[in-house]
Amino acid sequence: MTTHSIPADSVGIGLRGEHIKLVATDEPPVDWFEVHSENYFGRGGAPHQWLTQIRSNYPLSFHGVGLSLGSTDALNLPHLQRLKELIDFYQPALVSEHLSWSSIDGVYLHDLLPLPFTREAVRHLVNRIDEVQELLGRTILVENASTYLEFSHSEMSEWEFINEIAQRSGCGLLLDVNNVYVNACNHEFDPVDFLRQVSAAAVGEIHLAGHTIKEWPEGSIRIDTHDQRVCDEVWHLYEHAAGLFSHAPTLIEWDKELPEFSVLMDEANIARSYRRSDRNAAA
Amino acid sequence: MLLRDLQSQFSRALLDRQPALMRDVIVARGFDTTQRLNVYRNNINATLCEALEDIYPSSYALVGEEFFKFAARAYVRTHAPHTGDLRDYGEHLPALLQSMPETQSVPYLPDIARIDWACHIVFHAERAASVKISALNDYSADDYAQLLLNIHPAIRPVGSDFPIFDIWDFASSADPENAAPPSTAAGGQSVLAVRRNGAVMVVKIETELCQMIALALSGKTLGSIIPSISEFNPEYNLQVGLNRLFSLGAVSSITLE
Repeated sequence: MTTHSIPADSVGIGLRGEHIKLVATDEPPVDWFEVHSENYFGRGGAPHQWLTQIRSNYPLSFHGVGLSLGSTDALNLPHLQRLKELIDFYQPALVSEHLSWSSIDGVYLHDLLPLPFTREAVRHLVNRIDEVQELLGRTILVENASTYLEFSHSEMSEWEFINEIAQRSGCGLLLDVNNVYVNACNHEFDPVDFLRQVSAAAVGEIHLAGHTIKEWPEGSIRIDTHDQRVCDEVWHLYEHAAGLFSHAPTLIEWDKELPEFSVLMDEANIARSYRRSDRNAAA
Repeated sequence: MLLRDLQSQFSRALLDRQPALMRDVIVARGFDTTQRLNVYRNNINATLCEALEDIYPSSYALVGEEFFKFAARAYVRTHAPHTGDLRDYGEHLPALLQSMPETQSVPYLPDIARIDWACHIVFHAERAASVKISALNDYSADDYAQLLLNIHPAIRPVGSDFPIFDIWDFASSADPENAAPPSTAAGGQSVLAVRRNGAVMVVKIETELCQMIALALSGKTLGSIIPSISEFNPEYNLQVGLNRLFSLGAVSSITLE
């Protein structure tokens, strides 16, 4: 298979098991697809049959959720080896993971857990990303996570944290605009200012998704649930992102309460319209 | 706080419900530490319970949402995942169901869960060829003591003292929660989870064939499988059984131990 590259101005869709047969057989007009790498860690069966068919028609991106990049445990080499086998076979245009951790002392919590923004954590992440990029033989993108708490011993802002990791490791950034908005609400900062501070050259992909507001008597916390349409505020923020990172392709993510595939196509078309209006404005 | 200490304490705060461990390092901003940590704890529990629901659809259908979630939460409390691949999680749910006093009224539930797990393994199993029974012709009866029938990766047997094929079939029907399950008077049944063109099917097989496959999977040679089956049922026609084993595509290769 040759590597199909993903055009800068394109909009892809996160592909989940419920839609894979439809996409393989109907070949809907979508620029590219992103899959969760771990969903293909099995060695055979229908998932690989369908994905092989899809790969012959579309560029792919592999997005990991289980490598536990930020963990202080030793890197999970069997996990990484399986990822490498998949990458060697499917030749995805993009490979990404999260700036978070999910395991400690060999126990996996299967959530994207928050990191403190400290110099120690930067050093640790840079070493880990170096190790991963060395083993995979390619550059990866790392995604800013949604968080529901902040650590009091953080020594820098989140944008400084992600910029420094990208700059020192040579990895790219997967900028999740929904996560920036969720964090801006949860931790009270200006999301537009965040976007302006991110090192634009490092951004290699943009994510968009829906989130949920959970209310308590003390206030609300926004939770990155990927179970609904992108909200108006995030589309508004995306308009800024589309201008600042016009070289980066965008992905629509939806993981729970999955709708008909046409709804995802509709979300992708909305994203496309923002990019077009950006181009028109620039002209 | 060093990153490693933070991760160890964060994990203990969530899993052992000791939020106080994190109190000094989390910015409150209007919320109690416990509330903020509970967002993560709820996410983790939901992810793991949903993973179990996906892997155990027939068990879920049989006992309904409320009881399945109760059992899933008990599993999550007592079984931590040890890989970053959620497909690996949940193997021991049948054993947990077996040990729960609440499942005594549905004694066949653990075996239905075993069928679900077998289907899960078969669905993701690697591709492999099957050999025909004529492959045995390359060996003499003297070789049988060292002969290993390597079972196809997309074949898994489940045997039971309950009519699990009838119950599994019932659980896969439209509305099992509001209908009476089949009588257990029919006695034990054995099934095989197999993959055909990517789709997993559950087929009823005779107990002896199920035992042959289970023994082969456990690494027993043909030389020791044959007397075990004859001892279990002296009337069983082993030649017919072997024919059926191979015609199901259950043997991917034959090797000498």
